[in-house]
Amino acid sequence: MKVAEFLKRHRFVLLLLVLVIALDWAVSALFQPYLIQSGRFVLNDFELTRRDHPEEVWDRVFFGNSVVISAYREDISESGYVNLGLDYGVVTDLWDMVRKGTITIGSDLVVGLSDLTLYDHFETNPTYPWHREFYESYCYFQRDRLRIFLEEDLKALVTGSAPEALYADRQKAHYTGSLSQAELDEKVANSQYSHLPIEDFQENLRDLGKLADYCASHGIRMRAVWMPLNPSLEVSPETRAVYNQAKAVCEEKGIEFLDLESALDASCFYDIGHLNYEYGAYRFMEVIDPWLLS
Amino acid sequence: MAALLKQLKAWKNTPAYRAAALVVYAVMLLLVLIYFTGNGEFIYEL
Repeated sequence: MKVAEFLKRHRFVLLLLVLVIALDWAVSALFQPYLIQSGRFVLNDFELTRRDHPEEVWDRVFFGNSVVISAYREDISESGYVNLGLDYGVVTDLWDMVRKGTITIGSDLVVGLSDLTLYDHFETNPTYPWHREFYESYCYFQRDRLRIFLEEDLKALVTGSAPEALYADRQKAHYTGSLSQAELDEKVANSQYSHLPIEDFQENLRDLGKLADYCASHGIRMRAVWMPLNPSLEVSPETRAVYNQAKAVCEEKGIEFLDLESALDASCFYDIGHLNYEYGAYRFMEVIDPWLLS
Repeated sequence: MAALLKQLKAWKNTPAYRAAALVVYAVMLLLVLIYFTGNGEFIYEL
């Protein structure tokens, strides 16, 4: 009886809460596809991948950070792997995507590893959808885009001219050319990601193991590739420690581990790990495509 | 004018008014969420 009284007394607020949640859900169902396909918004790397691959199941996926974006040429590969390279992508992101159902992998997963793909405190893009908490409103999470949408459409209504699709041709960021040795040395000297303690990689290493277990139980073949590094730079003991632990996790879980650290010469690189799109990526594809197809 | 005000007052007690008020409040709340300042645009720094 007390519950009934409470419900009756507060019925307006309770109904309002239900309606807000329902409207929020309706906005997400209607706006999300439009956001991806309209070309009116700057999309993050995940959304760009989703735009170019709208199918529900991605049969073969090649995941990594910006190094994979610049290295794996999906447009020239015969393997059919979706390039799921993401700026600031880490293994924990991939695990979150998989366990939350943001992506569905069909039969094959390749993880492009480097020390930064396993760094627990790496920056991230806060607009990646798996960062949205279950209690977080869609309208709040996408507020920047919704603001643009509302204001541009209101302007279009008033002026009679349709909003422009300024970003329809936007692609993920690539690199061209190569930094000089002096620029490379300066970049390494100023990098905040040098000499990181192995304790800062444990969460991602653990999630690498969880991914392996998930793939094993869902019939997905998972493989790992340690991505190429510029041979003109020395590999630090800290990076070597991350490599060793990542390889150990893969061996423990029965994951094939392909070491391409020294596979390419310096002219293939823009900087420490990013390949240049016009040459290095082609050389990388010569090496990796036969393995991807095996 | 008095008749109009009387009509509006009568309408306020109807279920239609309460439903319309609910929708208006819900839309206002969503607009508050949309216009709430948060992190802003992500700046690429690497």
